[in-house]
Amino acid sequence: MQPTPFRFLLETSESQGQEWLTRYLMNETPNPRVPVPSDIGRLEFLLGEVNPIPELALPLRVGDLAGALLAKAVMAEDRQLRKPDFLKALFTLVESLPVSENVVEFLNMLAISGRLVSWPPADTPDFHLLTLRSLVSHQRPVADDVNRLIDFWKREAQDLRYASISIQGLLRVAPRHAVQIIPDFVDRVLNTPGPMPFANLLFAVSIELGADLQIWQHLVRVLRGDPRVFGATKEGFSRIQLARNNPEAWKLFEMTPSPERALAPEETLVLSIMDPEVQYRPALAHAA
Amino acid sequence: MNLIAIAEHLVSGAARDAATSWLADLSVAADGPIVRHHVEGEANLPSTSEGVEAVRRFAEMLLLRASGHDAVDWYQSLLRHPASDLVVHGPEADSALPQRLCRLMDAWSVRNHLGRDDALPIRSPAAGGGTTVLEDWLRSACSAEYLDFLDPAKFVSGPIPSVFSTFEVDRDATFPTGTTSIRCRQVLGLGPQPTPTAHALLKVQRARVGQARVPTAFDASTHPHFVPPAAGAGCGTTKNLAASDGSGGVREIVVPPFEASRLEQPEFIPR
Repeated sequence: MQPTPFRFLLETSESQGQEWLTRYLMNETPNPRVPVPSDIGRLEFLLGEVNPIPELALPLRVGDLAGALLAKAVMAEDRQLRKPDFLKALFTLVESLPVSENVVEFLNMLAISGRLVSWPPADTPDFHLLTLRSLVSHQRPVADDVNRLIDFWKREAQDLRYASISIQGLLRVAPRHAVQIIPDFVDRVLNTPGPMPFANLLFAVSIELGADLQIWQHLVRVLRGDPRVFGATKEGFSRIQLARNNPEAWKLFEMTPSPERALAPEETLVLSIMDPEVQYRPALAHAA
Repeated sequence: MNLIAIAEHLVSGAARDAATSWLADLSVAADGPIVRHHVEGEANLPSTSEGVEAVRRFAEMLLLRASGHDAVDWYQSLLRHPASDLVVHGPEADSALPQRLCRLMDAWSVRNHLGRDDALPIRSPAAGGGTTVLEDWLRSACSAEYLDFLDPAKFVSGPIPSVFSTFEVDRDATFPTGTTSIRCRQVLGLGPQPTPTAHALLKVQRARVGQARVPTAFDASTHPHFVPPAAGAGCGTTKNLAASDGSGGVREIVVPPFEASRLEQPEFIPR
């Protein structure tokens, strides 16, 4: 493994670092001299190099630079910095890397007031969703703040667009509260027209609950309240290979009888989106 | 291709001097010798009227290059500039070539460009995240449930020439299932990653709109292992770094913008 080419960021001043990161992500000339492989985007190359580093210094440095630029872009409404792709890249860095307390405070503020921010116009990413994703990574629940976070995530989960990520947020601060609202989420997904997979959420549940069998038992218990929801969730977990990754947790589902009622046809459609014959909306692709 | 002679013949003596200066600057710039090698080895462009016209326009642009402007930066900025219209592809590729296209993508690119927006945030190990979460997610995105994890409505895109041109038949012969991403990248002639990551091999079916074309020096840019196709060749090749005699490799064509009617189940490539 070669040394990462981004180490120099530890030696730069705050303003130099911000200026360099802006030019690098915006692909501006003069070209910052970092040998990015030709097939990998600059953001992805930076993430691939900095994210896996177990020591705090460089990941924190890059996370803080991105956080400061994000705050500048939002608070100062700097038009140069408010390009959608650039904002999205900053959110991705902040979400994936460690950040300092002031950036966490900013994310908290943005999560609460973010829907009121004049984000770039339509056809751009959902920046409120990106804010919530970053908060999932960086929320720091101190004793008297946990209840506020629980209320916040539960409120956000009422909107189906943000429900999955909100449950992921809750899983990290109050897993039992998260488990309580999973059946309602699954039920809403099953009643939503068109395919709306929830494998991403189940993947997150599997990661977050880990080997804690007590909380898995709690999940199975609350899911059993609705056989249809239990069946759909069990099938979802079977697809993400919970049985292979966490056999003890999977046993809890296996030991619970399958629901007696068969799924309605429209529910089957939701669960069958892996069917190779199902057609999807065409995606435009560009060779350059 | 003799750029200096073409510039003088089709534009002016000043263009000849500009071409001479640019080629000299390339010789001393980082990645410059690669670009110079591609340009001088290009055989297909001068063989078509469309190609000759592109080279003429390029020679005119050389006249506008400011002295002291990094030769490679200037070239790449020009290629990227939406109004320059200077990326000219070669003749039509052999119509007998397979239409099924593949692209090798690193884990972060799959996650950021094709992943569904409600996916689990991948925290850095330094921020308390696990060291294998990204790879675990990519394995799921490469499972039979890939469409639960990937958003098929998102754009598939990437730099040419190698990314859309790895035919599966070539891939099977050069990196069978289980081959590491490091080896796959070598076979495709892609630069190494300082920190290797897992990759996915994306497969797109029924994806062509318009005619695929043979790549040219313009398409290759700074691609270090691009082999300029001979005049009349049906497609390009990327050198197989492991073959001592230089044989083998993966065929390349240039693909125009296209619609992907179906994204097939990707294949997980370990790091």
